[in-house]
Order: sequence, then structure tokens, then C-alpha cells
Amino acid sequence: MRKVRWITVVMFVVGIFAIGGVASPQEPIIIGSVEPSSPPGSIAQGSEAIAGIKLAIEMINEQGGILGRPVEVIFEDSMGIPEKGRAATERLIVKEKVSLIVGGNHSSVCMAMSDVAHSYNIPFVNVNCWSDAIREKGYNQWFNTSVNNSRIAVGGAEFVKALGAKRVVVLAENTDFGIGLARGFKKHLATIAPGIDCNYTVLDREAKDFTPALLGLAKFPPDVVVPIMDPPTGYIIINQLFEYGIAPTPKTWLLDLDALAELPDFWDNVKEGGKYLTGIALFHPLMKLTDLGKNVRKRHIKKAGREASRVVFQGFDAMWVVSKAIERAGTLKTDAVIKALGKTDLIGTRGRITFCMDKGPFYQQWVEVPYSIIQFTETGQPLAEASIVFPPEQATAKPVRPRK
Amino acid sequence: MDVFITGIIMGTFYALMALGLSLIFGSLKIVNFAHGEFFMIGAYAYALIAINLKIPLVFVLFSVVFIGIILGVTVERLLMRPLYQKFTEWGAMRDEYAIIITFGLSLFLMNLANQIFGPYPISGPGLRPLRERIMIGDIVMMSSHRIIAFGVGAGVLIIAILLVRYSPWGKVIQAVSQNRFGASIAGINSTQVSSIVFGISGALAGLSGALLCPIFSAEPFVGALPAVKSFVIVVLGGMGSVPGSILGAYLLGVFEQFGAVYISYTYRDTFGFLILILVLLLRPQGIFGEKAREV
Repeated sequence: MRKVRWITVVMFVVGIFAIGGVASPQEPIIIGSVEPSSPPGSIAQGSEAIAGIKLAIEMINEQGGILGRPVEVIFEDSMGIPEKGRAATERLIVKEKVSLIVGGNHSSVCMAMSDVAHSYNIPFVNVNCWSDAIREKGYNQWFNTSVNNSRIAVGGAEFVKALGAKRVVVLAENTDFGIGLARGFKKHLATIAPGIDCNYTVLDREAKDFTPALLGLAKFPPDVVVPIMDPPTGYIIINQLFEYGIAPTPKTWLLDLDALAELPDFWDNVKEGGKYLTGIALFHPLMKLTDLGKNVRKRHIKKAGREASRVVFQGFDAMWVVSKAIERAGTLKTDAVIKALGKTDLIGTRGRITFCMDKGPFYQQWVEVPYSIIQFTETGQPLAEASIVFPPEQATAKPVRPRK
Repeated sequence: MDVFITGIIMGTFYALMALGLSLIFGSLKIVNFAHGEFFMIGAYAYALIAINLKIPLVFVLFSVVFIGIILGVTVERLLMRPLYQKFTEWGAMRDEYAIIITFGLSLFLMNLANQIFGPYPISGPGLRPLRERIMIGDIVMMSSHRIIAFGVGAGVLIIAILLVRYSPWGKVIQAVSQNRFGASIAGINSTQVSSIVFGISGALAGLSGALLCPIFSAEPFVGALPAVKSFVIVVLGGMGSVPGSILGAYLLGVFEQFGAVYISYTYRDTFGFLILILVLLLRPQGIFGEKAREV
């Protein structure tokens, strides 16, 4: 009887430990993220990217985490400044000991961060840095679910050619992204339509009044004005182009190549200047989403109370790609994860994601990022009601000009 | 001509900002590093009141001026007064404390705005729709909003100058600016003067933010650039000199525009510093500043 009692006690204790072992929280996988959360960085885009990354983490943890472990993200603020981004990346790697980093806004910041990731051999998945120069470095740690300048330049140039323009002026911000995209756009336009005269002016991203740069355009308006500027400066320049009667007008088209029209604060800032604006859009509610994308959109609308922007999807996709790569690698060892990332072939929010491995501007780049060119025809028009005007196979309407 | 006109218009907004800063320095010998945040709060106040209350914009501007006065007086009462209240008793006024406090206040207000209003910029309605433009022949000079904002700004500037120069309160401010201790001996309540000066400064910066809000958009860090320009202007004109600040503001506005159009837009903000260096080389005390010697 006494023996039975002892066996019962021992089994009870072992049982408690066993249950405790199963139920005890496992050590989480820590992933780093660097996004701008203060100026001069684009806080709006940083917030959207963070929202997408958090949604991905939420869904990953709901599905049991990665390799059975929960996932946590440590966010650092780049302030949109290269040195801050570099320091933030180094801090995540050295102090927080993260195995991977997801994030990036502002190409000049990504240029700096990519060097750090490369020197520490830490995989980095880029959310929203478009500059080709980052890809052209050829770092095997650097992967891009974000669109790149070359793809946007091609799309924009083909649209301008389709408009039948003769003279185009690009107003580009003084960053790797802005200048890189302006050059790429001009170069591609010269290739596909050598007759079009295209010039670009570089403007300060931190400036507020662009009058001196616009006075000349007011006197000799071109056929198309193409601003390439992140918000809030992008909004300011659109307003001032409208204020000086430069674009959009019956003569001059306004083509935004920074995908500003998708951002939630666009109409809070642009107002009348946004009517008849045409712009590149990496997400439009009429655009085809995958089941995963529909789920993400639904969750974001429920959480944020507003439509998801493309940056939300970009943040989500980057984190999703990382989680699946770790699963495939079966380990957090960087070389194995880099190898697994290179073999990515999965369905993201907006399509099938694979990485091109050809050196150059598309190196380790998701090439087929879907895009369209949309046009607002009313002030305050929701994105869902904006017309898709290009490419022709997606178009829901032809581009229209203001009557006066 | 259009370059000159836009320079004068920008100069007026700069002058509104710089005048308050100059008055504070004149009477308290304090550099208010939170001046740009008064601008930012003015811009937010304008946008939020105009959008949410939908009252006539004239009343919105008056509300912004009132908010600016309250803000200025509150900052003086809570943060500045402890620094100089013993000055009349030959206590030591610590300038460096003022620098630290106003710098800290600047960071606090920026981050507070970021927490309250969020990171997304917001633009208020124009005093006239931006589509209404002033034209000479076929050439658009600028929007009606900018012209009206210029008119309001210039009017307020003239009133402020006349008040400072001729009104009894203005004379009291001048007396304190010339010699705070002497003014106290003559029976002037220098503490009250400091409150008035901070109130005027808050109102002018707030109004400047409100007038430019439809063009610049309100966001937590919108005041940084106007504040830097104001510091340049105040040093250019002569620390604490009201006429110097106004002349400095117009000089900066016009030179910036000409430099940006005829030399290079990229170096637009550099021209201000270039003028500053040139003036300080020739007149280290600024255009209207007085040579001073401390014993």
C-alpha cells in the first residue's frame, strides 16, 4: 500500500514537470525591424509598414509560430536618416542578437543598412526601398519584396509615351530613390520614345516652399509633370503645382511616381490638387489579391478602420517570406536562411513571390510586383473609385484632363 | 518681378516668426528654441478647428491667435519665470538654463503632437480655394490664398510694430529691453512684460503657422525649418532689434528666391547662411544690432 502511495506521488510530480515542460513558454524567435518613426523620415509609410509586419507576426503566431516557437519583433527608428538607420541595424544585430531583419523605407537609409547586414552576414528583407543601386551592390544577404525603381521607371515611361507627350519635367527628391528613379525614367523614356524631351530637377526633401522651382514651369508648362517625392513633401509639391496652375491642367498631366495616392492621408493633405492626378499604384482595391491578401486586407481594415495601403502588404509580405524561409531552413543559422530565402517560391498577398538571381537592378528582387496607373476624377475620391488608366489590359477608363 | 514678389511674401511669413523671437530675446535675453513648435501648434490649431468646427476662417484665425497667446503666457509662467524672477533682486539669471528648458520644451511639444495627432500630416482649408489664382496676362503669379495670407500677415506685422513702438505697453516692452533692472527701479513690472512678450510671440508664430498650413500641412515637425530661418533672421538683423528682424526677414526671403531661381534651387537654404556670414563679417552685431560690452 505504501509502495503504491509512493509510486502515485512520483507519477504526480513527474506529471507536473511534464505538463510544465509542454506548457512553459518557449524562447521566442526575435526578428529585427528598422522603419522611420520620426522625421525627416516618412512616418506615414513607416507606420504602414509596421502595421503590415505586426499583422504578419499575429498570423504567424496564431498558426503556431516558426519552428514551434513564438515570434517577436523589435522595432528600431531610422528617422529616415542613413546614419541612424546604420546605427539601428548594428544595434539590432550586436545588442539584440537578432537573426534576421525586415524593414526599410527611404533608399538612402537602405543603402547604409545593407552594408551593415552584409558585413555581419545577417539576412535583410527590404520592405519599401526602391533604389536600384541597393540591388546592384549584389549583397547575397539582401532580398527585396519591395518594388524597385527600374520597374516603376518602365511603367511610368510607357504611360507617358501612351499619353503622346512631347515635353516631360521630373521633380525628384534629393535622395538615392528620387534621383535614381528620375534617371531610370529618363533613360527608359529615351529608349522607347527618343522624341520626348525629358529633364529632371532635384529638390530638397525637407523644403516646404517650392516656388522658385515652379515659377519657370508656370511660364512654360510641359506636357507632363512627374513628381517623385515621399510624403509629406510629395503632398506639398502637388499642392503647389496646382496652386501655380501648372498641373493638372488641360495642357499638363500630373503623374506621381511615388504611389502617394494609396496612402491613407493623401486626401487630408492634397484636396483640389489631387483631382485628375494620375499616379502609379502598387495596390488598388480592384487589383487582384490572393486569398492571403484578402485576409490581410480584411484584418487591416478591421484593426485600422481604413483601407490597407500597398506598404501594409509590402510589410506583411516581407515578414511572411522570412517566416517561411526559416521554416524551410529548419534553423536560424544565417547561411541556411539566406539559402532558403533565395529559393523562395510562395504565394504572398498580391501574387507569387520568387526572387530573380541575375546580378544588376533585379538581383534578389521579386520582379513581378503588380502595379497599375490610376487616376482620381473627383476631389476626395476613395481609391476604390479611382479609374485604372494603364496598362491597357487592366484599364477601367481612359485618362481624362480637366476642362479648364 | 514675380521672383521679387514671392520673396516679399515669404519674407512676411519669416518676419511674423522672427518678430516674436526677437521680442523675447530683446526683453529677456533668452533664445526660445521652442519657437518653431509655437508655429506647429498654430498650424494644427488652424487645421483642426477649421475642419472640425467649420466656422468662418476669420474666427479660426482669431482662435489660433488666442491659443498662441495662451500658449506663450503659459510657457512663460511655468517655465521661464523661475529662471529670471530673482533678476530684479540682483540674483543671477542663468541663460544656459533657458536654452536647456526651451530646447527640452521643443522636443516635448514635437513628441506630444506626434502622440496626440499621429504621424500623418494634415492640411487646413485655404483662405480662398487654391484654384483661385492671381494672373498677369497668361502667367499665374500665385494663389489668392497666398495673397490674402500675405495681406493678413503684413497687416498683423504692421499692427504689432505700431503697438511695440507707440502703445504704452510697447513702451514698457522697450524699456525692459533696454535695461530690465533700470525699468524695474522705475516701477515697471518686468515680470508682466515678460508674459506679454511671450504672449505676442506665441500669437505671431501661431498665426504664421495657421496662414501657411494650407500650403505646408501641419505635422509634428513642421516648425523646425521656420525656426531655423527665424534664428538666422534674428542674428542677421541684430539680436533683439525689431526693425532689424523685419529687414532681415525680407532680405532673406528675397535673396533666397533670387538665389534659388538664378543660381541653384538645391542651395536655396544655404543662401540665408551665406548672407548671414557676409553681414556678420562686416557688422558682427547684425544690421541694426548695437555693440555691447559686458563688465
